Amino acid sequence: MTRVLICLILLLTACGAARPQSLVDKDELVVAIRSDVPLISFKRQDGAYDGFNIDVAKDLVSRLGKRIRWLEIKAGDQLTVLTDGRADLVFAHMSVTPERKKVIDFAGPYHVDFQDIAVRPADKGVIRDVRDLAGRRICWVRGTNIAQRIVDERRVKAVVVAAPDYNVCLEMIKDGRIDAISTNSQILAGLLTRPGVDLHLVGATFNEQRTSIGVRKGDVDGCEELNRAITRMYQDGTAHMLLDKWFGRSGIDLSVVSVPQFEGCS
Amino acid sequence: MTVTATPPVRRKESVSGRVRTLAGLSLLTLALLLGAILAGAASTGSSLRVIGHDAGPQVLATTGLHRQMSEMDALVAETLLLGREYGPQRQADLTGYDQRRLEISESLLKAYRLAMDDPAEQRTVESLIEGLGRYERLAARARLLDAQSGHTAGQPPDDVVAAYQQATDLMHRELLPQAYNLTLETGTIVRRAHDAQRSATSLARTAVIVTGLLALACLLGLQAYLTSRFRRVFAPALVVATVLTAAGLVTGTALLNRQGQALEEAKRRGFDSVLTLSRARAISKSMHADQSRYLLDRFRRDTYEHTFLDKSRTVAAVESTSLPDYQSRLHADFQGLLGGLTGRDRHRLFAVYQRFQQADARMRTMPAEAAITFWDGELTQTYESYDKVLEELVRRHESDFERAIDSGDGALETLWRSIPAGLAAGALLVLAGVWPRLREYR
Repeated sequence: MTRVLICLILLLTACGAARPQSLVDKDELVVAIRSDVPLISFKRQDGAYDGFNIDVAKDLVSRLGKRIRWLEIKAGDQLTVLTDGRADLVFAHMSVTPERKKVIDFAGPYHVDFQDIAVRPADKGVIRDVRDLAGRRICWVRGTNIAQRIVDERRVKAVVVAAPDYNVCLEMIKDGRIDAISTNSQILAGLLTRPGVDLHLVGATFNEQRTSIGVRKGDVDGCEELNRAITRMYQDGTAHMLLDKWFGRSGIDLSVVSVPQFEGCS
Repeated sequence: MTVTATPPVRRKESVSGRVRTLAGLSLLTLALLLGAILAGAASTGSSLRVIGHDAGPQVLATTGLHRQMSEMDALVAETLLLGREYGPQRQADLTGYDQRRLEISESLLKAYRLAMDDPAEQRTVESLIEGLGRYERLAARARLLDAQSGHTAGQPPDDVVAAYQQATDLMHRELLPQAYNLTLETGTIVRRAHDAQRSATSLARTAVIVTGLLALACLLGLQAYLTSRFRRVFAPALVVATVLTAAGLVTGTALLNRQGQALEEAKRRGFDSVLTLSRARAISKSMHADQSRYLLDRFRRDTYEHTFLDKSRTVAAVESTSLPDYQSRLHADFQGLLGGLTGRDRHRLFAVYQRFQQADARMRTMPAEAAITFWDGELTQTYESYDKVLEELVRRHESDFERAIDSGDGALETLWRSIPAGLAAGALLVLAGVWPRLREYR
């Protein structure tokens, strides 16, 4: 009789443990961020992290009732920190792509951004649109697909000049080796705040960029909870307040704030 | 028949005590078995109600909302594009627009009812109602400016386009995403009910098997004890009770299984498929609208071509760099929302979808006037035949869903009616079986 009871208990507990691990079950979440993107996520003089992504992460995680432990990552690590289990969430201004979706899942997007173009103030009158980039030299940061999206997707015959990062792009546009830098308008707005940078934001909003949160593959519960938190963040005006706080003076048009259409969790 | 040697009193008591204990245990385990079956039936029954009768159908209602709203915006674009010479068709568009508005109100009411205990969802519905009011105002202004300009078919004057841009921006950047998220959120409610049900059913199934085997063991033990003590081969009442218990165990497990399968079927083949196909249908509707907006708004031609490509890739994903590249590379082995289709459905759908994309490619090479005529005629026809196939598929999966829910309901009724009766009879038979033996000790 006892043996049967033990078997029964074992069977019942085995059924209870079938649910996959989720960030919902934790009290403290490891949030992976970059520390080198002005306005979006950067390290202040006093060593604390600050920026739009940081504020969004703090707001959403507190809505889930959890604490944050920050993990600083480099540009290429945004997928591996999730796949090898070092982080629970990635707030690295990632957009959703089919390739990335094969290894991780996406909560959100928490913001819908557009691609924009930064030019020298002198070119303000001649480059007003992505079509005006035909025959112009544009910066291509290796590893990104932004330049390809102009040349292949839009079929605009721009000349692509490779660079290792945006700092080099800034130098090149200053000394005239290139004519334009194009990427997410928020990242451009951040670059424009660097000392000594004098560029003009064209306001050519093309190619929607859906900035999303990376979560571990299969964590449907966690993804759904984050989406609920994002919905509330937009409903109570926090999202508008944060956009205004960080980009209100950047030249980005915030008159219409898009409500992000979620990617879906399964 | 009778015991040969007269046993001592102590032994007498111990024999009757053992019979009582064994009979009592048998009754207890039978009661537990009944309890396990009823608990299983109750928990699966409540999830069946959520999926089959409350949330499920309402989710399906909210998927309509996205399509109706995007159709409304498409109709506005169409009236602006067709100049004064298309009088009757513009009138038909207006009637269609009013019809959509009516359907949207109904869908919103349904969504609001579903959101009764979810304040965030309620706020989404409220904000949609408020936003639709603003949209109507902007769309009416665009139409008024358009009527005043009296242009012929083709691009309307810039002020009309600017007024329409405001309306369509509101629709695409605020209203449609909210409608889409509403469907996802109600889908979450159904998924969670389904997951809870699945673990409850598997728990109930284990409990039924364990208690059923225990009951059988007790009954057999009682039988064996009576046989050895009272030199009887069979107590007929106990044999029948054992058979009834075994039958209760087998049918209980089988019915719980069947109900679980019915729910699984309803969720996967019916509900999930309807949700995915309806999303694809809504997105396809807005692709057709992107074509008219591409013709209407020369300032944003690039943007509308790009959103058309984006949506094409969502519906049927093929690796490609640009729209012409996508259209030339499109093959039957696509991924994306429609990527889950198999067999004949896939081929049928691919054929009509490809024709739609080919017609689109032709339209984009034509001069403005010809493109509008082509869009209004052949292109819209290819879209409609594609949409019709999608609609048929949605209908079929909807009826799969209803059938599966019905079969789950049927299983539930049998469960409630026959099994408790069988097990109660079993318990009575146990009593009837041991009663004469116990009387021998009076």
